[in-house]
Amino acid sequence: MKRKKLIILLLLFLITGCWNYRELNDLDIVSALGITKDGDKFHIYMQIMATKKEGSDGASSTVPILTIESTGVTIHDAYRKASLESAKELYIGHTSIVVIDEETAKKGINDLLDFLIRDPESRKQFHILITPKKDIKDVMSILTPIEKFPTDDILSTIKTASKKYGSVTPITYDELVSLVYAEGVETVIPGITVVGEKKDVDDKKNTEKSISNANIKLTGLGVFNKDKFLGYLSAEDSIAYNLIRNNIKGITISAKCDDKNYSTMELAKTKTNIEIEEKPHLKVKITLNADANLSEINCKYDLFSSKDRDKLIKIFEKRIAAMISSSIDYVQYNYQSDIFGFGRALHIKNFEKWNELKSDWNNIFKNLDYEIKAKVNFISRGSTLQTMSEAEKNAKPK
Amino acid sequence: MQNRNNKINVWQFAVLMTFLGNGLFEGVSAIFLFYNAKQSAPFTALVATILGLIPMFLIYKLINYEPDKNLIEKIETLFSKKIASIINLIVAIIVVFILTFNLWLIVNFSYVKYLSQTPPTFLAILFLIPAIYTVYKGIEGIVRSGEVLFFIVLIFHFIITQSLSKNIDVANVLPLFEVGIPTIIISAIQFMSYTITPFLLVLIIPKNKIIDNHKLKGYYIGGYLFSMMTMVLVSFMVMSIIGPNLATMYRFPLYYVMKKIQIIGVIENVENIFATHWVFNMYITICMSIYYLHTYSVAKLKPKSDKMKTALIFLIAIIPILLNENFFYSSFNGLKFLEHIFPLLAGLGSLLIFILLVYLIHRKKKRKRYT
Repeated sequence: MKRKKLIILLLLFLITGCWNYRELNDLDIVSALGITKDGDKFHIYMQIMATKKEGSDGASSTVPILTIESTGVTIHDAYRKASLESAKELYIGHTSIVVIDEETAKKGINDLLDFLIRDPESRKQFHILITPKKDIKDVMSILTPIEKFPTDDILSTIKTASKKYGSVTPITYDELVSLVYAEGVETVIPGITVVGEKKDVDDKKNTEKSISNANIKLTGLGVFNKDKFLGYLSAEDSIAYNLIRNNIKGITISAKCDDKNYSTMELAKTKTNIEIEEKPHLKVKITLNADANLSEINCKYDLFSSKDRDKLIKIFEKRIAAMISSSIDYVQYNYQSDIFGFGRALHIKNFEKWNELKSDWNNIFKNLDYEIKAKVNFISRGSTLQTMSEAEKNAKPK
Repeated sequence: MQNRNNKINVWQFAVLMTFLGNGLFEGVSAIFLFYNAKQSAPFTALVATILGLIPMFLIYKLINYEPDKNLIEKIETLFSKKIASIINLIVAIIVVFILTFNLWLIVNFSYVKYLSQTPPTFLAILFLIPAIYTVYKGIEGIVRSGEVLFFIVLIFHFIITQSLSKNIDVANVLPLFEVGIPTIIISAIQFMSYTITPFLLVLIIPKNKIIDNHKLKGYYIGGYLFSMMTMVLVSFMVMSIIGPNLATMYRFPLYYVMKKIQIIGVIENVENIFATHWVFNMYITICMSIYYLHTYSVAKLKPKSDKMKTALIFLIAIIPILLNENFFYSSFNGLKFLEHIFPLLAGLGSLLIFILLVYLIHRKKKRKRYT
């Protein structure tokens, strides 16, 4: 019995899990990582969450983040060299944003992917963004007014923009890796930039004004071919891309409902189906079904009349089809990169045909014929039954 | 070894089987399956389940032969002393490899994911201590631990499947036959070598030690199918959620997929809790392997005292540590061995032994009928 107790006592000392133990106070938590390449060397920016200084009490008056830079022959090398500027051990387990600059991305991002996927500490769920090279330092060091930590601000903006406007596709690191290596579909990465007075980005005063001197802004989606960046899509083309890829959660679309005025519909639910017809020639059939709520109308329509309602629906169906068509044309003409996944649809339907065509797919995609069918189901007209002009007409009869 | 009744029931026997097939799944059989079969991995696992019925039928035949004897004794009754010793030694070597690689995997997983600064040998010792204690308690101790762990695993499986189902994208497992039928068959056979071979460990339990053994057939098939179907389901979940590109890229793809778990939309970052169910699978397989080797060494060395018998458990536990330390310290060596040699040595080797044994049993029965 004594021996058993002794063994248990010994085990208590052995199985403590202290071998890898690190105090939170001993870590510098990297919340965002910026990567650029200068020649053969990697240059990284690390945004570190500032912790309370040792011995200080109460709220700290210092800025919430600290940005450090480092250069190395690999990202890991640069990351380790950054320890020369950091008082504590750098920890990338909580990194939530990785920003890559356009110039580096144009040369290919494969080199940048390896370290982050291999490192056991990184969670691989962080968001990837692309920015002009001149802006990367500003993006990494900007102080934002709404959220304490700029990364939280950027993440909230991505979330809101993708949910409410639809021009942003949140791309996490794992999704990026999957898309870069996928067959028949190319990747996109949302762009980010800094607007306003760039000299004020890291000034604490920037967070203390009702109109910030400098702020972050999400731009259109960056188009890639394999791992190489080609260029951006406009906001409207980005929305169309998201409609085709079923990334839309709830966006609004505006269309002219008479000569001067506009109407807006909120697409509550959309479902896009891509089909490939092989004969007589390759043709993509895009069918979009959307449930829509009328959110604003400034034209004289009688919403009780089915004729007027159908007219309005037709306007929006045409508008959606035109948006999609314009986006496809733009990508076909400018980038020849199949970001819509038409090749993937062919791959699933007929992998033998896909294997024949895949080496020349960019050229085939460039001239690929397509047909769009948009079907809008008008499910609600909001809180009112009529348009304001109709209501006015009914209230004051002649 | 504690002197106990050491009897188990058919339910406990089936529970034991559910762990054995899954022992090398995460980190070994899954990665080879995903790498070779790509998006056809779930279908390939299903093919392996069907093909696996052949060796499982052979194992069942062996269980029924001489029900009061374990595999070691059965081999001794079927062959001359010398040949029996050689065959028993080959089976013991196969079991040593099953033990070694389960320990290697458990240590490798902990080392890569959590404790990169802890010496692997120390981790191995930590995992072996409870296993040694369980084996010391005899087969009853092993199956009782298994029974408790089984319910935990079952709950984990339910939560994982339920919370990940919203991430499934069936397009990721299409086109189904792109890799070709021959690749699917070869991958299924390779998959079987990791998942079916450990089932030989149940042969160390004589049928007479199983209470209500007349019901064994149903439980035996049930245990096997449950074990294999969980692997089919997990392969489907992994492939359909992250697709073949990511599934073939990660060292532990299932662990990565579990990072996406979100329970009732609020609870996140729980992958480490759910990852323990692999540890349970490996732990029971390690216990059964040590139990097999202990029974084998007791039969061969015939130690006189109980203390000597207990000391043998410790000695057996040292073997995988030494092998891992000297041959498979680098994970590249381990994976290379598992990919190229293990399927031939353990998979094909055990299958040939089973065929030979069943053939001899059949011939013996035939002769008996004539005489």
